[in-house]
Amino acid sequence: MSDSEHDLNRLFQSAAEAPQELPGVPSHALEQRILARWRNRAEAAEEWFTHLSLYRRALVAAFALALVALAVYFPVLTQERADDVEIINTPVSLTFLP
Amino acid sequence: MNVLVREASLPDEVLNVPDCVARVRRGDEDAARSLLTHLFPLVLSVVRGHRPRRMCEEDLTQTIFVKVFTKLNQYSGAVPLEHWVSRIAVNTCLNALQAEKIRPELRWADLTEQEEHVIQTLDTTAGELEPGQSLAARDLTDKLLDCLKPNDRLLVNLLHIEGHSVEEVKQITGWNISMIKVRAFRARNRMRKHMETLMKETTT
Repeated sequence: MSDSEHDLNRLFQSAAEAPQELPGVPSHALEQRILARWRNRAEAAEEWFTHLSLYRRALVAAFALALVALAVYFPVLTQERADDVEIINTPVSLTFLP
Repeated sequence: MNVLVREASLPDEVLNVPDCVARVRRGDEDAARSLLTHLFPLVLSVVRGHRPRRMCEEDLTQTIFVKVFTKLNQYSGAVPLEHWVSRIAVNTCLNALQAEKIRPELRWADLTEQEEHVIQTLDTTAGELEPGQSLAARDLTDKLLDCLKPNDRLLVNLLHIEGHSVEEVKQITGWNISMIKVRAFRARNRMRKHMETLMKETTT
């Protein structure tokens, strides 16, 4: 082991032995701050979930409405082109004749 | 169970942890207060060991506890709560270290009188440092650690100051063993070079 390696080990050993006083309980102010932030976050999350369920319901309702509309207008959409449309288109085609 | 958890957490008979966790999940503030008191020594010891120099200890502790409480729904119970919390605490400290971009170069003029004395003792003697020098040794180690990258700093701290085994470090960080060993080796080399530079400055 090199000298500097040995020195580093001695430094680590001494640093590890340094006394460290840990307070057993958090200060009242810290406790209050943590609980307040937790409460706010929980409320925000709850609000988000409420909105999320609303969005989900709105999406389902919109989809259902689209289905109903499709069902109602299905016969109209599948109907053959009426002759009157052909008649209206005729003069337009005629103007391009040489 | 790792050393950190063994030393810093209160005995389980003081608090029924699973019951308390369930109550906190339901939003019970009294239970949250009890859990906070139970976990406080553990979180504080992680914060003291790994926080960036410029960051307030209380702010970091607060961030960790808010994370713990808000993510408590994700705790599966597969590992002891203390392990889960210590991992959150270590990761939060690591993020804070990574956010602190500046890694100062350490010069002789930056050392206090006691730290200078530690360097001189290391340079001139071969035995152990005196017990009275341990606080200065700790401060000097912190200053040397500040010169390292956040991940390296975390590793050296866990392995050499807090005395965790490689396996325990793997549990705390989630990194693989070979990566831990390689990183730790390189980090030690970097620290050694910084220390050698300081020792050269002593002699000049």
